Amino acid sequence: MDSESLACSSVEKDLTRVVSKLEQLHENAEADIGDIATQMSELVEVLSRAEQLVTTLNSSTQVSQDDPMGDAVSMQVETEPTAPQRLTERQVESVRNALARCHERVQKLSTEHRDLHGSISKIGKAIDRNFSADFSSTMRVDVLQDEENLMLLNKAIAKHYCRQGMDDVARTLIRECKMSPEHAQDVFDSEREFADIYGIWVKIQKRDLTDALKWAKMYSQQLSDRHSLIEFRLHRMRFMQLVSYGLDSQREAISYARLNFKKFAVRYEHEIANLMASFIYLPSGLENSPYKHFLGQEKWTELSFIFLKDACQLLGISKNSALSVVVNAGCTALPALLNIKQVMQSRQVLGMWNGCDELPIEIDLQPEFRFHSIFACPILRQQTSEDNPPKKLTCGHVISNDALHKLSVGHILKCPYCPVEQNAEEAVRIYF
Amino acid sequence: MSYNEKSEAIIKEEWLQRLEQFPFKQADMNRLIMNYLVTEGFKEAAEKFQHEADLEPSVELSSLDGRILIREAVQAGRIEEATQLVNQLHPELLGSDRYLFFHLQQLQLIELIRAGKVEEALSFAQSKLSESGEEAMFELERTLALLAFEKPQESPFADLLEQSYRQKIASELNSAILRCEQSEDSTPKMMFLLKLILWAQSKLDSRSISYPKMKNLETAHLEPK
Repeated sequence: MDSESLACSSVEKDLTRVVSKLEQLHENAEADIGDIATQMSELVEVLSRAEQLVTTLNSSTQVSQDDPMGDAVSMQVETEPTAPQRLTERQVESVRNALARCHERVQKLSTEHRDLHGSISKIGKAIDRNFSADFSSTMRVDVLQDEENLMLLNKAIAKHYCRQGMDDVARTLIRECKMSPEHAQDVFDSEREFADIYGIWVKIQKRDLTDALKWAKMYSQQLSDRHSLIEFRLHRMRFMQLVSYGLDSQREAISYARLNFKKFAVRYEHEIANLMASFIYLPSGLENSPYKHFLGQEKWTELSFIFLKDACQLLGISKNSALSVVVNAGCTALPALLNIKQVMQSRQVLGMWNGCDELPIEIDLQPEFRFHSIFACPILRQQTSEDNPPKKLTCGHVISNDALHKLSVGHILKCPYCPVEQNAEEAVRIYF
Repeated sequence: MSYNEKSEAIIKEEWLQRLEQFPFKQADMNRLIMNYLVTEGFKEAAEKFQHEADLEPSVELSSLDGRILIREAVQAGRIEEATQLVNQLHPELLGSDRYLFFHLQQLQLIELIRAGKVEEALSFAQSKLSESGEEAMFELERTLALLAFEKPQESPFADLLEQSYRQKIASELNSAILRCEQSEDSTPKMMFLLKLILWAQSKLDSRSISYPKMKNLETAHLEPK
C-alpha cells in the first residue's frame, strides 16, 4: 500500500509540474496572440481606408466621362489619380515592420511550446518507472488452458450477470462459450434467490418499498428470531414517505401506523413516539423540520444496504458474487505479489508455486475475504481442508479425517481424548 | 456526630419504641391534615374536619371555590372549561408559565384522541402545539404516539389516558395557582414529610444499615428486619 501511494504521488508530482508549465505558456500565448490580433486588425483598417479612397477616385473619373459639360473638371481629375494610388514609403515601411514583429512573436511561441515536449515525455517515463505493466510473474496462465477451468470461469461470470438481473447477457455468454445445459441450469438456479433480493434492493433505492415489505412480511418470524431491524426500518421509511406526501395523506399515514406498528410497540416504543410527532410539522413542511433527513436519498441508500445484508444473511447466501469477491481479493493481493516479483524469478519460486494451492507469501486480506477452515486438527496440528475435513466422533470430540484413519484399527477407533471406543465409520463431517 | 457503619441491626421493637416516645401532639397532626385539605382544595372535607377537630383553617374556605372548580373540570376532562376558569381567575398565569399551558393543551389533545377524533387531534396538534419547547417535545411525542394504535389504552403510552395523569396535571395547576396567589404553601406539608421519609430511608440504605423499612407509604406498614 505504501509503495502504491508513493508511486501515485511521484507521478502526480511530475504531472503537476508539467501542467503548471502548460498553464503558464497558455497565459503568455494568450496575451501575445491578443496583441498580434490587435495589430493585424489595425493594419486591415488602414489598408481598407486606402482602398476606399482609390475606389472613390475611380467613380469620379467615370462620372466625368459621362458628362460632356464638365470638360474643365475632367481635365483636372486626369492629372491627380497617379498620386493617391500608391502607398507612401512610410506606410509601406510600417506594414513591413508590423509583419516582422508578428513573425518574431509566433516564432517565440513555437519555441516555447517545443521546449515542453521533453517534460511531457518525462511523464511517460515516470509512469513506466513507477507502475508495473508486466504481471506475468504473478499469473498462472496455464490454469486457463484447462477446458474445465475455463468453463468454471465462464460460469462464475455468468452467475455475476444473473445477480445483477442481466439474464440476457448471461444467456449470450452461455451460448457463445457453448456451456453445457446442466451447467447453464445451475447458473440460473443457484442465483435466482439472490436475483430476487437484488431486484428488491434496486427498488428500495428507487423509493419503492412494495416488494421489500412483502418480503419482510413473508419472513417476519425468522427476522424477529434474529433480532433483525429491517422489518421495522422498512415500515418506518414507508410511514415517513406517506407523511412526506403532506396533509392530504396524513389520514393514510395514521392508518398505516395503526396497521403495522402495533407489533413493534414494545421494542421500538421511543422510535414510534418520535415518528408520530412528525405530523406537527406538516403545515410548515417536513423539509423545515428535524425530520428532513428522511427526505434525502442517503436514507434510502442506507436502508437498501441494510436490507441486502439482512436478507442474504437470513437466506444463507453470499452478499457478493464469487466474481466480485475474487476481483477484490486480487486487487489486495496483486501489489504484494509484485513486490516480490524479482525474488520469485531469481529463486525459481515460480515452479514451486505452481505445484500447490498456497501462495509464496502471506497476504493480509480483510476478514470478509477469509473463507478457509477455522479448525485445526489437534492430532496432526494442521488446518483442516476440503481434502481433510473435520469429523465429529460419537463421543463429541472432533479430529481431522486423516487423523481418524491413522488412529483406527479396522473399524474400531479409540478416541484420543476419552476412553470411548466406537465405530470409525460413524464419525460425521461437520462445517464451521 | 460520626456514623458507625458497623452498628448492629436495629430491631423492630426498638424502632417502634422510639417512635412511641416521640413527643407528638394531636393538634400538630390535625394542622397537617387541614393544611393538606386546604392546599389541595378539598373544601367540603375541610369544612367537616374543621367542625370535627375544632380547628380554624389558615385561610377562608370560601376562597377555595375557584381552585375547586378548576380541579373538577380538569379531572373530568373538560380542559377548555378549565382553561377559561384559569384565565378568569389569573389572566397572566398561563402566559407566564408556558410549560403549564402546554400540559393543559396536552390534556385537551388527549381528550380528542380518547374520543377517536383523529383529524381534530391532528389539526389541534399542528396549530396549537407545533412550537412547544424542547422540554415538552418528549411528552408531545408520547402523546401523538397514541394515534398509532387502534386501542391506545392497550399501548405503551396508555398511562396518558388514565385518571392518574389528569390528577397529576390538576395538582400541578393547583400548585401554580397557589404560587400565583402568594399563598404560604403551594404544596401540602404532608408531601414534604413523605419525601423526607423516602430520603431518610435511602440514606440508611446507602450505608447498608439494617432497619425496619416502610415500603408502602399508603399503609405505613413497617417491614420486619
